[in-house]
Amino acid sequence: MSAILEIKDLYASVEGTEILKGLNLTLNTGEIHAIMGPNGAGKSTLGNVIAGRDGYTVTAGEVLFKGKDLLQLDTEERACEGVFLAFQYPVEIPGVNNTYFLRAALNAQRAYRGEAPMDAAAFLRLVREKLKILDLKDDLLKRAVNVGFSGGEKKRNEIFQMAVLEPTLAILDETDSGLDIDALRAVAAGVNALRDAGRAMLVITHYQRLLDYIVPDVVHVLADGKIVRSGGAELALQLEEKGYTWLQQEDQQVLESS
Amino acid sequence: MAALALAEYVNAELAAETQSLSWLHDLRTQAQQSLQAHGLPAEGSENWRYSSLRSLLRKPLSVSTDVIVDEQQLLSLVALEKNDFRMVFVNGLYQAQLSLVPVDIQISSLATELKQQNLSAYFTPLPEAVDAGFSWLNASRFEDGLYIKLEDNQVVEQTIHLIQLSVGDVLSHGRHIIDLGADSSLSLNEHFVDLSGVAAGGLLNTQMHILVGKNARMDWTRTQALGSKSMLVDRVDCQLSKGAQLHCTHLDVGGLWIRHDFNVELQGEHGFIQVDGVVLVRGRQHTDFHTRIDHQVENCTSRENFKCIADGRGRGVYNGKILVQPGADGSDSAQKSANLLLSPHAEIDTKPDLEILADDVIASHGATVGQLDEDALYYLRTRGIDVPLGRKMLMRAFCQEVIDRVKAPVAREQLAGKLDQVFTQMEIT
Ligand SMILES: Nc1ncnc2c1ncn2[C@@H]1O[C@H](COP(=O)(O)OP(=O)(O)OP(=O)(O)O)[C@@H](O)[C@H]1O
Ligand SMILES: [Mg+2]
Repeated sequence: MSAILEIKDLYASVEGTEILKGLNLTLNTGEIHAIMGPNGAGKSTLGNVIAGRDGYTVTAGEVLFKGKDLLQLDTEERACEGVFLAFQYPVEIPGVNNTYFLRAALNAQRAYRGEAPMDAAAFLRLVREKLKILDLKDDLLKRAVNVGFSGGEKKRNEIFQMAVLEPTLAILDETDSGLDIDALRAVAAGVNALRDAGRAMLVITHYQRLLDYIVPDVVHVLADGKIVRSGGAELALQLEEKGYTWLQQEDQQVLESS
Repeated sequence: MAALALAEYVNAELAAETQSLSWLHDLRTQAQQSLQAHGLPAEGSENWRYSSLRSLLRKPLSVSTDVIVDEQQLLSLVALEKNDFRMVFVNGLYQAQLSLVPVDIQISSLATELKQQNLSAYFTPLPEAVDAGFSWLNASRFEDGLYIKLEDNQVVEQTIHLIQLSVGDVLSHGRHIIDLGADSSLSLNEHFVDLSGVAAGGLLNTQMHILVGKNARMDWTRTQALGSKSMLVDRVDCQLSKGAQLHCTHLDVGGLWIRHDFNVELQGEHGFIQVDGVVLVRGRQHTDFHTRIDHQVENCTSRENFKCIADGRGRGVYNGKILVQPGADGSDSAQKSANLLLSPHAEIDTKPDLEILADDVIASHGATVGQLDEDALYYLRTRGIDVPLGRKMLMRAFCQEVIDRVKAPVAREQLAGKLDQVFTQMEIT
């Protein structure tokens, strides 16, 4: 078992404000980790730092992806290396056809790996196969990227892209938010279909419910820019029941008894 | 004749008339007098304030002589099927051997047609505005062009291509007449293309006169893909009768210095004009688009949608004049100018210019200047698409709205294909 992602004592700021404050996290191959935590804790910031968004400055620490320094790479190089971020708020791109976009992305990644571009027919077969898993409406493919998609359709579209691109590391930022039960199952099916010994996934969520479908190996709590607690799947249940204040109270007790 | 600077043509003597048509002789003489009196549009002219002619006037240009272009060369420039009808002009002169003309309608070269009938009505009156220099230059010197006359009820199913090809440092004066009878219909795809290469470039000074008869319809695309040294001064005058429809979409993706004057007179009730455009200016390209839509009578509709992308040191100008004459109640006009300004050295000048002299009128207009959407670019990059490709995809996407408005599927695909090609070949960092 080797590490896919190693984050060591990571500090990052956005527009001069420090958001990540000494974050440590290791994902091994085959693992799914869940990250929970209060609003504004820095969960999406972590996703964007890993994906390489401009304006997110790492001030200390390191991020290794398959042992390589990820922070040296451009956003698109990270994607081509196998990093995928499913956005909390997927971006609408008027005028860019969804299928065209996805084929351009796949072929960019293939070119990076030295593979020949996939022709239209082969791509269509691939798309059909992945569509079945996700139960996504055909006509969404013919429309502009995310334009006019419902909240749930946007999230399904993220997972559909993930299914086609088959990343080594997928970060799912609140992909379950705003999904109806069927959509949640479809998204979970997409994730589980990709679950294998060679990959890892980081699932950011506010709800324990998702974790009934995607059973995580580890659950972390991210608060105020760092991981404050890690545990098994049962941690999510406890959090659901007692809320984040429970953690703070526990910490307080630990502090007092010491 | 040796090459002259453009400025010198103003006073150059007219070539001896080959045809002894007295009306044409009078027209040319009168045009030349106006040209000599007022010259080409001067620095102070409001209509030309963003398009200084200074660099043009010094440009050495020779007059058209016969140049042989073979079919292979033509097909490398314009995507044509073997059986597509086409009227091909090289440096303004008709090329019968490259053309393919339908037999069941009146279509010919203007030079031929002038020998057949008196066309003086299409040429008079000459424009009188002091800045009409290029029109007089054309009227005094034109030799050839496209002539189409559709009878009432004539519907031409197959698209006709008008191809204007420029070769070398030549000054040409294409003159085109399209006269559509009542209830007729025509699809025209126009192409400005170039074989000059990167070292040379001509000046095409074209004039077009279009009459769309009662309830007639014209669908028209204009693709300007001239070479990097070529220039175009293009004036179109359209007159629409009652219930007439004209849909026109421009793609300006080439050339060095381009000026369009697109004038429309809505002369009968329920006329409809749509004039759209995609303009791309990079390097030192300059494209100035002036439209003038004159609502002369009640209940006509005009629609304009222009998109301009300016990068490098490119400059895009759009001036959209809407004139609603007294009594033209029920006029409905909408005008949109959206622009992408991608470089600190590029420039966009966009101006709606509304003169509304009637009461019951809808006239909306909007102009925006923006940059590429950084969030969208980030999204593309997180999927593996690099910055140059991502920027090209977003630029191409910005143009799509204009393409979507093209009604005829074949024309729409052709314009989309041309844009795809332009952005695929574009070098960008
Ligand atoms: N571009 C930015 N400029 C300034 N502050 C920012 C920016 N992006 C994020 N922040 C701040 O960073 C903090 C962490 O934001 P982040 O989006 O990472 O939180 P989160 O844990 O994902 O919250 P949520 O659960 O609500 O999605 C917040 O206080 C937010 O306001
Ligand atoms: Mg978030």
